[in-house]
Amino acid sequence: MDYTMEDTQNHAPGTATMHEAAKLNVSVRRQDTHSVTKRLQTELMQLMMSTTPGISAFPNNPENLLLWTATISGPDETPYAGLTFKLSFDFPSTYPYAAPTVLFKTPIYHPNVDFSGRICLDILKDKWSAVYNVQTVLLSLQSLLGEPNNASPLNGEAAGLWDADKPEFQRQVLARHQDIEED
Amino acid sequence: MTAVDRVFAAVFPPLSEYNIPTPAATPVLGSAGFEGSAEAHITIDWDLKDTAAEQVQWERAWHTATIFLSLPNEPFPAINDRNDHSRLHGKWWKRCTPEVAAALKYLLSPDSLGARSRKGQKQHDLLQWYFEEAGLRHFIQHVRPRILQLLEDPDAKYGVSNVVTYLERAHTVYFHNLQEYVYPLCANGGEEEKKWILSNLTGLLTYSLPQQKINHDLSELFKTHAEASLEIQGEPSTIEQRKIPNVRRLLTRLQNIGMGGSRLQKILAGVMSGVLSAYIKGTYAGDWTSRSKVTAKLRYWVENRFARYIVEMLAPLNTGTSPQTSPETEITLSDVEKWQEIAINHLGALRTEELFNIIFEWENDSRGAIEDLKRYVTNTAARMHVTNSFCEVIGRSLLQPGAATTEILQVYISIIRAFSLLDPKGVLLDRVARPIRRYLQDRDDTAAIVVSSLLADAETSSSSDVLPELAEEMQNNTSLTAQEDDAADLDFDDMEWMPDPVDAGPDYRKSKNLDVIGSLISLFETKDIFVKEFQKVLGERLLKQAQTFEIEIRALELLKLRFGEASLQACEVMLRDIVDSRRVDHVIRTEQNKVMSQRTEPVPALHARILSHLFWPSLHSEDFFLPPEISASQMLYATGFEKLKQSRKLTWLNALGQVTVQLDLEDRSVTEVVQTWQASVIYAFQNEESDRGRPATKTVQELTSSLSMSESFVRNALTFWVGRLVLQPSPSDADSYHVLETLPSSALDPSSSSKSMKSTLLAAAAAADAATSGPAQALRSEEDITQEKMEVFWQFVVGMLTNQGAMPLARIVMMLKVVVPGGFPFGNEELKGFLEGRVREGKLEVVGGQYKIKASQ
Repeated sequence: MDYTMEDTQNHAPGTATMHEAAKLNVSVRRQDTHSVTKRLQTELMQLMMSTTPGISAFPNNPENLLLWTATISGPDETPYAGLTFKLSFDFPSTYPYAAPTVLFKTPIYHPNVDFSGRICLDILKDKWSAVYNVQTVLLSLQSLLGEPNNASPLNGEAAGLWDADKPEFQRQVLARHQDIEED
Repeated sequence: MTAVDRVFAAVFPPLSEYNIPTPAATPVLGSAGFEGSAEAHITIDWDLKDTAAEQVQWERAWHTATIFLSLPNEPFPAINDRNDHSRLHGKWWKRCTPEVAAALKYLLSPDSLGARSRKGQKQHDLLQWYFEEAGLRHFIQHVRPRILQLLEDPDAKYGVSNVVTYLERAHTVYFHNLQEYVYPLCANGGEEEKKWILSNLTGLLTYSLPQQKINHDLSELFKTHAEASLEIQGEPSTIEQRKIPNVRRLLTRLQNIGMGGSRLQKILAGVMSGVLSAYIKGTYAGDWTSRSKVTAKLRYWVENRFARYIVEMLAPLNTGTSPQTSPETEITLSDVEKWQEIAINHLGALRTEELFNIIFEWENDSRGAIEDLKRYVTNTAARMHVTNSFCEVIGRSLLQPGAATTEILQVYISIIRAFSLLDPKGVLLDRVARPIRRYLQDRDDTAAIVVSSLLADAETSSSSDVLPELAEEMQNNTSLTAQEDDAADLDFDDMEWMPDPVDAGPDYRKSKNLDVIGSLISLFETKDIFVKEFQKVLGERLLKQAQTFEIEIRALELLKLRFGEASLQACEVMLRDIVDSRRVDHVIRTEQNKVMSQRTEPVPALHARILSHLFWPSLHSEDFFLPPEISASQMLYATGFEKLKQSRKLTWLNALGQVTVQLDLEDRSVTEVVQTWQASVIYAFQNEESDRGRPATKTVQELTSSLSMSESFVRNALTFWVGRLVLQPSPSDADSYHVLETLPSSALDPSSSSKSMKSTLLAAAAAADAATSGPAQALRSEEDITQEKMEVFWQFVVGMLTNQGAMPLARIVMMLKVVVPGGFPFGNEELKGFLEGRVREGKLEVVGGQYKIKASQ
């Protein structure tokens, strides 16, 4: 006689009706963008407080915190010493569970960067993890300038020159580099 | 002469109505023929051949009568005595001859054939003719100009009185003949005719004269009289008193000449209303003493003086010609009651006007005025009026940038007190308090003042930033626990329950705690401001004072009730820190005294207050070198503490604390309780002292480097000691100070002191005051913290400009507002000032209105 009652009682408490599920979804998504913003804000604060020399980053405009511009300066005793490079960061709404898209805006002659600025770096691809942040990405990129991964070059010529002819490589770097004007 | 006149008048009629008798032989054809059908059928009974003869007889009678009744074509003779009619006889009051009498009889008597046959015909109505003769001709031509002249006469104080006299004469003249000869002939003794001509003639009199001027003059006259006889403006003078019968007679006369009636009543009523409010204003303005008897006195006055006077004044209007007006002028009890109500309302309006001053003077017992006002605010309109006009006054004269916050708070406290007396339900208070509260919320120092007042010592504090009243209230306040009022409406046992008043706003929330402190604490929607401020002031006081903290505990308890325990946890910890550290201090010291007692040299006693720094507002952490003895004691103390509380360490805040210093100088000994840095500075002088014969001398530079203390602290301490006559600046070098081992004799003996020395001393004392009250605050000032925050923002700005390139100021501010956690608390101007500083330092540059990081090379 009390089957119905039992049934409701045995109903798994976590299961939601369709309506409720829809509602939950919405709120989860909203929660997501919110948490991304929050996360990025925290990262920015962290970045500002730590002031690691040679790297810095900042959002492009106050309306959209998902787009940043970063600056790294070439490490000393590398062909890039004394040069500064601008990069763009595009954070997905699932950040930090997915990697940001990072591109060099400043033209750069580098074995692991192609001519449109795309970067081949494992932590920006399959090795991405939520523990990375803007600062670690920038530091990795900075070290990549001094130690290119010539095993998987995007720019074969550069990879070849790096190993074969450093002075020519240096010349190419300087020829390729030009400070982009801010718009 | 008269005969000539009469003939003259008869030949040249001034007006067309002056009829020339028709020759007896000439029949008037039109008479019967042209009249209406009524006339025709009336004359049917008549012998037709008599008609012509009768017409002639009528015409002759008319002629005789009109000549007799016509008025001379000139103004009245001047008469000094009103009752002297002798000069009127003859030309104005004529003797009636038998033929005139016969003619009048024929024209008027209801028995006469002529009158009967022409009944109702206007052009044959002698009275109509007379009205036109007297009113239209004589009055307009001769009397009216004279009256206008009298009215405009600037010399006569009451020209209207003369006008009345003149009009009265006109009356006498115009009606004498009618009275004597015409009325007796008419039916019923001429009552109807009398009334008719009187109303027509008086109507003409009044409307052909400038009404406003007359009304105005009359009301002026009445007003002076009423004010004099009701003793409104001081003592009644004898001259004014003599006027009393005068005005009454004037009223009678006005009534007699037909200028009385409702019109005069209207004037009188207007005057009396003005007199009433003038009386209230003159008598009760500023009379605010408590146990107000004003309303009772006012009621009595209205009943016994005011109403009596009105009755007296209206009496002449009663005895006039129209007896049916008497019900209008009769004063009933309900009228008197109505006047009393009006008087109370006038009083209320007066008190409403005065309300701001009443509240301003609240301390000096202006309670009575509120009691008066209470009788007035019995209906919604009155309540509305009170609050609206009060809000307006407040907005105009209190909520101004010029008014000090303490002043506004003071007035607000008085308002709370006054309005809770006026309207215990609090609706009125709610309404007037809103603008004040809103305004106070915008003021930066409101919270600081309220908090420091809550904690202030009622007796001793004299600072302008503190409301001693609030502190007093705080100490007397016993109803700290009366807070379970939220559910008051659900308390079904509350026999005193009343619904909210009808004029309560929709968002009105009855707060039963109308007490002053509750209202002030609830000024701020968010408790953060308040709690932060409280923490600051509390910290300051806890560090400064040595005695018990009853007031602080009390205030904390009060705030806890309001804001909840959680938000005030830090304050709680602060208080406990102090209490705990006393205990810890005691333990450590007893421990150490055992050690100390084995040593011989005296060591200064060191007491510490141990603060849990996480819960305290940011404290001054300026460090400097303490005298070695003190540092040693600190070390010792620290080890004692670490023994007592394992795994905890003490960090000394050298800038906070108090030192009792005893200075043994050559001729005197000075004992002072001073701040630590002041003690350190004076101690530095000791080291160098007495090796040579001359007093120790130090410069500011030496002190800053040897103590590693900031220059401002050093200077502050030096000024302090100069003020205490311990140090003296060298005459040669302003930055060099030396110890004043012996006071100049003049300083010891003020009577013999030279003037210049005295003024130096005064200046020194003033400097000392300024020094001690200056930067000696235990907690760091807002500016320090701001500066620190700015450093963080600077990093943001650098990051922003490095990556995004040059930016204008507005964009930088907008950016900061978004990206800084917790928001960017500064405006454009502040940031601009900051950035300009950076530009001067060479870290930034401005290119085309945009800020840009300056290239490092």
